[in-house]
Amino acid sequence: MFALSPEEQQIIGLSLKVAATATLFSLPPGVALAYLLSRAEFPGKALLSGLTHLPLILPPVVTGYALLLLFGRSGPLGRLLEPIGIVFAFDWTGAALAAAVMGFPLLVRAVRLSFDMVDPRIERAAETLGATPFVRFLTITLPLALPGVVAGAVLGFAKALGEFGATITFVASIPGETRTMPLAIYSLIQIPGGEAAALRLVLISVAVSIGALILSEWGARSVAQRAGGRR
Amino acid sequence: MLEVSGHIAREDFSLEVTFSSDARITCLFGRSGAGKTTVAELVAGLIRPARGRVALEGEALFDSDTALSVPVWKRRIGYVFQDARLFPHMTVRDNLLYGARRSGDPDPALDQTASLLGLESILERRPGALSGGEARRVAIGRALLTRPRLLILDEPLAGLDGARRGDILPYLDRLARDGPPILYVSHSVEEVARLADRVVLVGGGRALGAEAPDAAFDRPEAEAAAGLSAPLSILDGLVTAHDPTGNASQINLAGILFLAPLLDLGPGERVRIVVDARDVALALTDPVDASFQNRLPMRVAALDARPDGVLVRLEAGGLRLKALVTRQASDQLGLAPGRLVIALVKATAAARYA
Repeated sequence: MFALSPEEQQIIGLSLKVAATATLFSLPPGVALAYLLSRAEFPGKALLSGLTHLPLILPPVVTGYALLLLFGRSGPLGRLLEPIGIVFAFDWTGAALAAAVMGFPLLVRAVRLSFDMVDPRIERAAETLGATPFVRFLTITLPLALPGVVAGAVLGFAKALGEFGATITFVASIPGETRTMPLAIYSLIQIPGGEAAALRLVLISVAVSIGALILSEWGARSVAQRAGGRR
Repeated sequence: MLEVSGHIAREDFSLEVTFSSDARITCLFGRSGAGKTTVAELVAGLIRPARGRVALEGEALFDSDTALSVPVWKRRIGYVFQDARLFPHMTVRDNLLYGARRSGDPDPALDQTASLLGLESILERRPGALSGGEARRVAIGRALLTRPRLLILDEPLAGLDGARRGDILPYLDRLARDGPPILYVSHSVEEVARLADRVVLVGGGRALGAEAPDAAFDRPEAEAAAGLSAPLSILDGLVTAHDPTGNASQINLAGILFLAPLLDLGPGERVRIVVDARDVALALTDPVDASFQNRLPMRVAALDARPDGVLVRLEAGGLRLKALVTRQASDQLGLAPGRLVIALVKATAAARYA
């Protein structure tokens, strides 16, 4: 009775692909930046922290426009990347980039907090046992912060699924290419008689979000149990 | 051989350190907050002094003159922190093997270490499920398994109740015999008297020189640092025999036989006993009908006047003993350097620390 039409399947598929790609690619730099902000002291740290949080404060349209200026076909970074086959403009990868940029501050914030919670004295102990800083990070700090990393990734993913303003500004709303769920819902309510279809998409969107939430809760819990110390 | 020198300065705290020691157990001894842990951290490389030098077995680990500082993870110095600092996300087994895995040790002595420290039954547990004493023992084992060139123990018995201390002390004794050289941080007279081969007094912003325990405890600073109410004599000897009645042991102290409370050691084993100077009485003639089991003919080497009486330093062969008597008693006996006296010590006054 609630069979998905091919268009709906395609919209859901695209949304998940965009959000997953955005999360996957923003996770490594996000974790690295979060660790840097949590542990290192360097000049310009406050500035870097501020820059990281910028997409959170700026209107999404502004962020999208900035992306367009930078990564558009005639933008400096767009021109630089085009010869090596990386094109963001009006491509689904552009939607992923917009989603990644918008979710990045949330991800970094959550991961940084979890790094802050890891006791540096335990890291010192690892050093006295012969762990180099890199090994110490991989064997002690990251595993202990893993619940926070998972939480950060989930936040980033959720933000990516719902991202609208920056995406539509940067890569427009091209069916099958950049029209993710929020964009599709917006398009449908623009056309007369589209309310029913929009409502269906809204319900699907709610279901997908709740599903992702349950999955992430389950994932975070099993990670927390492994890292938690008590059995 | 451990050589340490340096100057550490912070806003509220400065410390001048110079000592070297090739003893099996070197104790950093002083009151809480004196900077003992700071010295230990300096050796391990966890802090860097403004200037100074740290060398182990002739190899420089830190030298401000040549701007050398070997990173912590390359020093191969095991550090057992006061708060254990086990890795909460790993089992006891993985905690123990952590250092061995880092160094690529193909054959870590896990079984041997686990049995040395009594950890066999808790290998699969997580640190959160361990008692304080168990956690300390795991921390010691974890450091030992890195095959360290030096083992730093920071107050390994602090915060443990009597039963748990008794739980760990035998392991420390075994470590002292079979393990790597140890730098032992403690504010406890008992532990230092029991374990130390050399003592570095830390106090008043200084940690200068490693001395034999008897000499270190002889200094006025030591009494202040330890909160001692009277000087102690620290006597090393060998168990020679056990009294047939079964409640006393005979010890050979530098050629002089001494009766002490029964020891759980066999004849020929090394032992250290500690005698409070207040527990030593003096007589000019041998009181044969008194209960003192130790009546030792000794010579007065020196007299030190103190606010609480006169400290009489006695010698006989290689044995040195301190007696604290009142000025009246000293005058009555006419004590003076060179005078021969009988030192009277009850067997039960000799406390055994090792």
